[in-house]
Amino acid sequence: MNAGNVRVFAEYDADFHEETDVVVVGSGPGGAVVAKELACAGHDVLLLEEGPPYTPDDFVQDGGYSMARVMREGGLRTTRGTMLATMQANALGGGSLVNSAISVRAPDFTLDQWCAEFELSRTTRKDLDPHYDAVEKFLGIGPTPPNVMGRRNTLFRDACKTLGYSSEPMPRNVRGCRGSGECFTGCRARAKQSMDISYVPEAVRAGARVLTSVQVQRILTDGARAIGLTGQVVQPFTGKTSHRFEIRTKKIVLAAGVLATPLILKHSDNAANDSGHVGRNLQFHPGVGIMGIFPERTDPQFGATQGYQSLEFLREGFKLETLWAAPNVIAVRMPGFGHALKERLAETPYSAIWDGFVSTKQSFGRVRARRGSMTPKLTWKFHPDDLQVLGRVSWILTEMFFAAGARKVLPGIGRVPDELFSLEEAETLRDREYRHSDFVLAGTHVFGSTRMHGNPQHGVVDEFGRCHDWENLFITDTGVIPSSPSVNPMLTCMALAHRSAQQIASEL
Amino acid sequence: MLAAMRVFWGYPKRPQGIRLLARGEAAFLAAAADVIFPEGGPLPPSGSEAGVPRYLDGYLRLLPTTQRRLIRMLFFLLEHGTIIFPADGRGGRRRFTRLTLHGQVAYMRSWHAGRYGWQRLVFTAFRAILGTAYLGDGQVLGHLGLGPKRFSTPVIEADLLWPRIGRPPSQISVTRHDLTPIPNTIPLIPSGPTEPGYEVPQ
Repeated sequence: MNAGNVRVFAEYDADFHEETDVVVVGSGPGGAVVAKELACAGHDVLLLEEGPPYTPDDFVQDGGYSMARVMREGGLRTTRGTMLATMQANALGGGSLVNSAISVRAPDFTLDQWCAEFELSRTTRKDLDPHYDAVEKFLGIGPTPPNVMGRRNTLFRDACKTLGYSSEPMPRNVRGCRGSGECFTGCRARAKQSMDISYVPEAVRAGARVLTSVQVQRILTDGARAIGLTGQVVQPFTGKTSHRFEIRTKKIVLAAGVLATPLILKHSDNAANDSGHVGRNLQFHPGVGIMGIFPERTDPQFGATQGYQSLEFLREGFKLETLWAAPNVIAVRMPGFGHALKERLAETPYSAIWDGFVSTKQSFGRVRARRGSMTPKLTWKFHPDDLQVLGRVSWILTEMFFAAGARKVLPGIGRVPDELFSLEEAETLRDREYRHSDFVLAGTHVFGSTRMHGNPQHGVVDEFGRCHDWENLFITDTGVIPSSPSVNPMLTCMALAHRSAQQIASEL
Repeated sequence: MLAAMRVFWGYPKRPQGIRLLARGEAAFLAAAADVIFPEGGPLPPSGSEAGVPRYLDGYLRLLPTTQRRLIRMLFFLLEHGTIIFPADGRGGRRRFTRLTLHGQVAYMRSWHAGRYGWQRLVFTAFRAILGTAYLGDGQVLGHLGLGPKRFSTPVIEADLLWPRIGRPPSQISVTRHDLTPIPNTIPLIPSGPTEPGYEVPQ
């Protein structure tokens, strides 16, 4: 491997110009897979990333500082309409650097629904499984092993067993996990196979060049073809822009992320938007985290960050998981103040947090561009029917905590007592009319802003990620996912990207 | 004139190490941190002892301008919100840092259990920011036994490709000879050593 193939911020000292066969914008799961597959097929690939590459010495274990450094808008990005916090990483490897490595295939019923609803004929189980297989094999995806499960995860398993719900160890892209619970601040154990230590190095080994700290701002066109890109160098953390660059290429793959790809298209004279769907159909997986306090220590910082899951309720529209993050991120949900707050904080070593997210069916939003800015303007509306599903998630998780022997539950829901001491008290969570202001909403899975659709009038790309309007422009981030994949979207995004890469390679 | 005096006059000198926060903001955060996290109880350090203002000074410096401004506006709103929601008793309209401790607690309680939804939301956001800072302190985390564990980080091939952020490639500090195998899943244990600064107090 050649370090010279990866360019970092300190190396830019003037405007520059490059030429290549394929340029891939974004090194997250959608972009890294394409870069590696094309480079391994012998093509000249240039991978562009706006964020810097992180070394273990760059990771900060403090949750607040880590989010402020790694996440766009300092980790404080929210939607308007219904307020929902959402986080997107700005780093080589994209979100894979700071997610908890969850790698789950979309279920059959979801793929069937996509094919029927979005006029897709080649996105069946049979079509996608070879691509899932390839990604899983490369990343060594497998179930979380028992020795790094941790109490927090086994309590979840026990609760599911008691209540008769199906559950399983979380499938994750890790090798040699030590259960440090540091997925969200960067894996110091180098176990998580984030893109920066898996697909990107493999692409480099095959000859791909990587430019980090470069922001793509505009696509260059010649009639109905994309011929290149322009943008600027960006300083890590400050976001200050400096030298300009221009890249000429035969094919462009946009994988800048659900919220950034539409901006690039909109800033390029509304490119690839004859359908009018660029930036529309924005969807999240709004989630809620419930905390339980147990009589004995759970030492929640030990064990795989998200080591267990239940797929029992996928058809009802939600998925349940275990959760952990840096203690000061967990603490923001603690109620009260003064000595009462401190007493609750002191119970953290006895706690577990489990979360659930909703596969919304009627809640949509939009990504809009601001003039002269690469920061999106986001709107989103939580539909009341989807909101009631989130209420049901809260009840089920609370029920599970008491089934696992929790002493009390801290639901963190408005108009509900701060602490619930029994299932009878928790009955208040059942069959109530929830308001969105009852929840502190967060949604880290985002998709749909450049959705695939068989009909060019109703979507931005076809099943291979090719823009309906421009034959040499592809999109491979989760924006192409047309509706909720019912599970965490990373693996499906990568499988779709793998398929797109094969298509692009066949055309070069 | 009176408004300017209220905003600028009578604050103590800015503590050492604070680079971004104005002296009024630093004073407000220290006082508010001691109301939200008073001294004693199961976690002995108070908010100011846990270095809440210093943490937030560093945090704000990392944030983009828009988010930084919004958070500073939140501090301003709570420091001078006594004009709209006065604290109980005489002199209840004085700025937060000029209230008695009793007044400060009552004032914060009035935001916590506010009549309006936005009031409660403001308090929740403020508590979240202060909570992030309080649990960012090594001493507090040490008391909870939640400090990050110390372990050696393997050197992998990717480490040969780029330097630390902001440095040139010539400063890549490892070579192929330094590569180490990933340990075969040796789980960390609660009794294992923590990173320096996070030790459990004796």
